[in-house]
Amino acid sequence: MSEIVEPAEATKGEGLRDPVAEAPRPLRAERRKRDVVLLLRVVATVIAEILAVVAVMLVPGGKGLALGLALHALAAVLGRVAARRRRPDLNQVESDLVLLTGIAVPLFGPFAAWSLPRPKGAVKPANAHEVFASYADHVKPVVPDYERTLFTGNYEKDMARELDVESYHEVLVHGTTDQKRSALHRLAELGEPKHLRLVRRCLVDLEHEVRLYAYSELERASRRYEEEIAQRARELKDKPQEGGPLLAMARAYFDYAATGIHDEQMGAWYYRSAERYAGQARRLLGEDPEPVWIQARAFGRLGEYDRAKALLLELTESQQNLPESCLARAELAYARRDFLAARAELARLRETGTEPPPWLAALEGKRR
Amino acid sequence: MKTADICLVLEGTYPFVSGGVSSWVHMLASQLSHLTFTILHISPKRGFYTKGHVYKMPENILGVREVYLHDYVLSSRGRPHDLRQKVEHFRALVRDMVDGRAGSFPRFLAALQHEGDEGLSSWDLLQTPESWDVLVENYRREAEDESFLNFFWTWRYAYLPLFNLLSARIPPARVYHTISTGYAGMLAAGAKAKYKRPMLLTEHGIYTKERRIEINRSEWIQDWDSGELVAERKAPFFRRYWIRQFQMMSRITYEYADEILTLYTGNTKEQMKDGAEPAKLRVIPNGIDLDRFGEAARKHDARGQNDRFTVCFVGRVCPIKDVMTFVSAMRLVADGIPNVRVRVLGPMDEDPEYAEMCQRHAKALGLENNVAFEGKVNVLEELPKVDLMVLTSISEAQPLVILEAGAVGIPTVATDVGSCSELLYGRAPEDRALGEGGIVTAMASPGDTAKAILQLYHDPALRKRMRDAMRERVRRFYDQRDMVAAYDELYRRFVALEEPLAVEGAK
Repeated sequence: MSEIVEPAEATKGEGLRDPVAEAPRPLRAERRKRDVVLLLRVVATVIAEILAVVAVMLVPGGKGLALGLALHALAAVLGRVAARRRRPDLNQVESDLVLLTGIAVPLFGPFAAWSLPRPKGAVKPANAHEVFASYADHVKPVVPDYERTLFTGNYEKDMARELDVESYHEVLVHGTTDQKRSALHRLAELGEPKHLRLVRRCLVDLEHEVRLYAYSELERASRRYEEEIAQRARELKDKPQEGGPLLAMARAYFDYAATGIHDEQMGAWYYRSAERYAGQARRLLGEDPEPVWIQARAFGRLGEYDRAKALLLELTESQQNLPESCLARAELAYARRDFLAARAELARLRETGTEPPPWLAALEGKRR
Repeated sequence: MKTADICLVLEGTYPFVSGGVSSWVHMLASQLSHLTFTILHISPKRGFYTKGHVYKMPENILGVREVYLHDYVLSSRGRPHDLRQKVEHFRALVRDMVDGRAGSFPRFLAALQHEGDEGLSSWDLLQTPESWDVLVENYRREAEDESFLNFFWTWRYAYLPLFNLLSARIPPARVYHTISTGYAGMLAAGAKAKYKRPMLLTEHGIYTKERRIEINRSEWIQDWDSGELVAERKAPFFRRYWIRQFQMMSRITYEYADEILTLYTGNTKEQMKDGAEPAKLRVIPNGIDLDRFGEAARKHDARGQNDRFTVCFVGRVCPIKDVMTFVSAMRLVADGIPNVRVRVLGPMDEDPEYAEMCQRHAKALGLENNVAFEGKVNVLEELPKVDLMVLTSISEAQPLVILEAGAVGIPTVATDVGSCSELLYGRAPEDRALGEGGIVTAMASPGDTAKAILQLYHDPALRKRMRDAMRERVRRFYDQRDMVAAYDELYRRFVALEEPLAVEGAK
């Protein structure tokens, strides 16, 4: 078997000889022709890859990506063909150059598409303002722009929306009648005292229609409580000498008062009633801490902090670690703006394993 | 039926229901005894008003004809030869209603009002392939995202009563006078088109606004709810659909009316907003018969200082009067004046459930010894025994009770609705110069109401000033004779018209 000599081996020790230059004349012409073809393939590979990068960068959306991928695939095929066409008689430098082109160029495309900055217009817009800006450059709108984009034309309002700070409160101040109606309905659905208080404030809206919507939401919200109180009253009538119905009545009144449905005076009246029923229940139920707790909270809401405190101290003595008493003491301290004391109660509440309400938890880690 | 001078076109009121509008109609017809009237009354369905007439009608009312909104007769009279062409009028009407125009109404009305078999029937407009095409076309045009089933039934309930009304038999009269827009307004417009006689409109409350509020508050309309906690920019589709129907009825009524009258200036703004032509608008305030209240005023003045302080509510016990707030306010008043006497005078049969709830509420608030629900009474006999009138309504036009109390010399605490502040504080500068006749408070605020009552209780001098101001105001600006004279002049002018009016598109 004859020994196979690698071209590199064959030239070893003989210096860098140019086989093309040494070849006979007709063979040399043919080789030059092949070199040109090879060069053209390398150039085509480079061009296809560059086009792929440009397509990805300039043509927006899926079209650009598809075109870029197609051109990139073409460049990869051309590069592979060019690399396979390396001739054994090429010198080392030329051979490596062709190999490098065939392999490296198709890798260049994805890297370039990933790293190069993209021109404006081909980028996905960050927000509605940018959509609007690019849109306005190209199309003459048939209807006002703000109608297309839901912008109001009021800079501050639109900015508030952009910043996602539009709130029900803002709608109730600036919104249309329909928006206000919808906001009032949503607020009533949420049903927390802070929401219902906001609904209540709309009873003096400039528009009578909005006032009526606020009224009907409050009326709807109060219906449930009215029924509850009526039910408790019936129970109380049946068993006037028992603590249970009295306590249930106190609870119903307190819950109703706390809803925020009422104006200040009527709310106070309901708290006062809750306190009165709780007092009667307390006399009948003895050790049960709940009537005391209701009484104390009612006093707190009525602004009679000393009476509330006295009851809570009493409660604390009899029920040291009752979470409700911790919570009520914290509420009283909070109402007095004594945040240090409130924070101490928060710590005590946590020790009982009770999760504090958000307004109290917010005190954690605060300096004052 | 004999041709009357005036045909009053009414919906859900006189002579079947008592209330402000009914009293007004009764008074007007009684006072204008030289004119003859007929009543064309729109009722929901046959037998709805089980009590029959609740007023003893004066002799110049020649008769009452009822038209039923929801008593449908859907039967084919045979296919009219030009059905396709006539349905085109309906198609045009629907398109106009969607676009907020009323131009095609006369042609549609003419197609509907053809006598005998030539006229369109409800069957033709709702049960034929041509009408089905109109329905589907409109569904595709404006409601494709909504349930077709809901659209179909909404469409039916929107148009069927309307067709029913417009094809009803209308008694002949020299003038048609409707006391609201809506269905009554459409019927009066139909009457004008048919007989080419003048048509007048008096609006006490603004019908469109009342319906809009009612629709937006109603719980029977099913909405698609995104569940997102956002304030929607528009009302849900089917609510908008109903509101638009009523708006269009008002617009058509305004277009057909030769004069549009209302009770106070606040209403005219709403009417213009709904499409009323400013040149047709005129304010004729309500008035009361001062002679009737002279004796009551003398008795009231003789009331002793030591009599039990009495607060009174006069009106129907129904949600719109917000009697619940009144009762709550009385709880706070009773805390300040333990022996206060509170009287609720008015019928309790309009919404018995609500009336019962109010009584229960009074009991729950521990007011058994203070509050008495006395039902319908003779107000003239009871007013002299009252120290203070309270009105906690959430909606009013121009409440007569304030004027009646004012004539007797009773100050009023009323919520800031309708023309209450105009009545108590004055309308024109010379009116305002008379001073305040009461206190206006925020609605649904028992605290505010109670505070005003306690203020007046503790300040007899203020009460006296208000008494004098209110008496003078009523005497000078709200005399029933002025109102009756204004209507008399109006009726005479239009009754005397001999030339038939040109009504576009009428037969």
